[in-house]
Amino acid sequence: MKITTSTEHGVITAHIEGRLDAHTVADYIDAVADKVGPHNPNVALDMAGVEFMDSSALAALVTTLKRCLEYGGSIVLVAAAPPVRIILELTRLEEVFPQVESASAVKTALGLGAR
Amino acid sequence: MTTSVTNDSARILAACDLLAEPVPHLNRESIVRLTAELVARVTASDQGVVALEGPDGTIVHSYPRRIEEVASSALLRRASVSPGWLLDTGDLEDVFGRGLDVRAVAFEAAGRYRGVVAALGPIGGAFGAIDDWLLMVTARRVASQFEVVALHEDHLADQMLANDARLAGEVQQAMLPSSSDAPGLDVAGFARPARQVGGDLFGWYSDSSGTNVTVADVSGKGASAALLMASVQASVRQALAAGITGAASLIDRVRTDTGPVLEQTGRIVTMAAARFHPEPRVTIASAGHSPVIVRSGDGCELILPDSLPLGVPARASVGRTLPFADGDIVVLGTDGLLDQCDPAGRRFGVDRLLTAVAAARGTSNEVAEAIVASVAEFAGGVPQEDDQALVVVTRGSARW
Repeated sequence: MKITTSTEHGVITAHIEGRLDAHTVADYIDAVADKVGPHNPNVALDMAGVEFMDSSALAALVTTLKRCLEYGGSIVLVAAAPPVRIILELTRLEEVFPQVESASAVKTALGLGAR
Repeated sequence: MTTSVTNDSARILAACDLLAEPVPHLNRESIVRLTAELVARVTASDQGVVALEGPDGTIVHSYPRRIEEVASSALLRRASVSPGWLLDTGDLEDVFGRGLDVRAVAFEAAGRYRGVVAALGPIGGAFGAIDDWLLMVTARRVASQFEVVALHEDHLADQMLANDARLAGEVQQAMLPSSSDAPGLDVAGFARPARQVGGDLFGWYSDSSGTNVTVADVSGKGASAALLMASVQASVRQALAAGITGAASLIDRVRTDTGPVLEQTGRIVTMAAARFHPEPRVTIASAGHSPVIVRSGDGCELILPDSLPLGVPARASVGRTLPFADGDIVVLGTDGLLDQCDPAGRRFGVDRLLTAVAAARGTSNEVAEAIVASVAEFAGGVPQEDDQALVVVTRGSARW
C-alpha cells in the first residue's frame, strides 16, 4: 500500500493505493486516523487506487470516523474503487461513509462550503 | 622457579582443555557457580567470583552467595567499560575487604547478559600476568555459555508461543458445535482460520420452538480476534439462555453487550443470526454481515444486512422473515470466502459464491464441502489470507 497525505484548512487528505488490509492498516492509522484532532477534524480519503480492502481496514475507517465526529468533523470517501464500494455495500457501511466522485466535491460533502 | 613454570604450564594446559571442551547446556545458576569454582582452580586466587546481570539490569545470579549485591554491583558498574579486558579494580578494596586484591574481567553475551568474572587473592600475593590471561579466557568461555543459554531461551520462547497458539486453536475448535443436532434441520459448519486461531465463529442452538444459527466475524486476525470472538460467543449464549431468540433482538443484545470492548479496541464485528421456526419459515437479521444466501425453488438470493456492524453506532436490527420449505437451504458464510483471491488477484466474490451454492447438491455437509472446494479451486494455490467459516442449514423431512 502507498499512502500520501496533506493537510489544509483542517482537512487531512489522503491518497491510498494498493491493498488496505490487516498487513497495511497500521500504516493507515499512523498516517491518517492518529492525525485527526481538534485542529484537523476532517478527513478526505481518495480511494480510487485501492485494489483490496478487508474488515481490518473497515474497522480502521470506523475508528477514523469516530475520531472525526469526536472533534466535530466528518469523513468523506473520494472516487472509491469498486472493491471499496462492494465491501461498504455488503456491510451496509455505505450509510455512514459519504462518498463523492471527485475532489472538487469534498468541501461541500464535509459541510465546509465550496471555496 | 621450576615449580612456578610447571604450575603455570599446568594452568595454561587446563585453560586449553577448558576451551577445547564443548559448551555444555546448563542453567544460568550452574554456569555462574561452576565458573567461579573454575576461576578458583585455575588462577592463584583464594576465591572465584561471578556476577551476572540480566536484561532488565538486575543482578540475576552471583557466586558465592556471600558476595553481596553491593560487591556484585560494584563489579558490574566497571563491566560497562570494556568487556573482555581486565577491569580497573583498584578502589574495590573497601568493598571486598582490606588486604584483598581483585582481578576482574567483564563479559557480554547475546546483547542480553552482562557479567563479571573475578578472582580474589591477597595483595602482593600470587596474581600475575598468567592469572589475568586465564581470567580473560574464562570470561570468553562464560560468554559463550550465555550465548547458548540466550539461544535456548529464544528457542523455548518460540516453542511456548507456538504451543500456546496450537492449544488456543484446539480450544477454539472445541468451542464450535460438534454435532448437527437440530430438530427438523440438517446443519453443517466449516471453519478454517488463516492462522492457528481466528476471529470467525458460528454456532447453533435449539429449543422447544426452533433453532438459532449465528455466524460472526471479528475484524482482524489471530489471538486478539479470537479473544473478542469468545466474548461475542459468550454474549450470544447468555442472550439465548435469557430467552432472547429472535434474530434481530439477539443481534441487538450482543451489540449492547460487546459495545464497550469494541469501542476500546477499535474493532468491529459483523454478525448474522437466523431463527428457524417450525412453520416453516426463517427469520434472518444481519449486522453488516455477508454473505448470507437463501436458496429456494425460486433460486438463490443474497440477503443484505439490515443493520450496521457491531462497534458502529446503529439503529436496531429489524430482520426479515422468509419461507423455508423442505429442501431449501440457508448459507451463512464469512467474508474470508468472498475475499479469497486467485493467482490473477481476482476475488472469489458474491457472484461465484451464488453460482457455487446454486450448483451444490446433497446433505448440508456435502453442500458445505462443495462450496469450500469451489473456493479452493478458484484460489489455485494462492494462500488463504483471511479466516473462512461457513454454516449450511437444510430443511429436512424429519418432523419438529
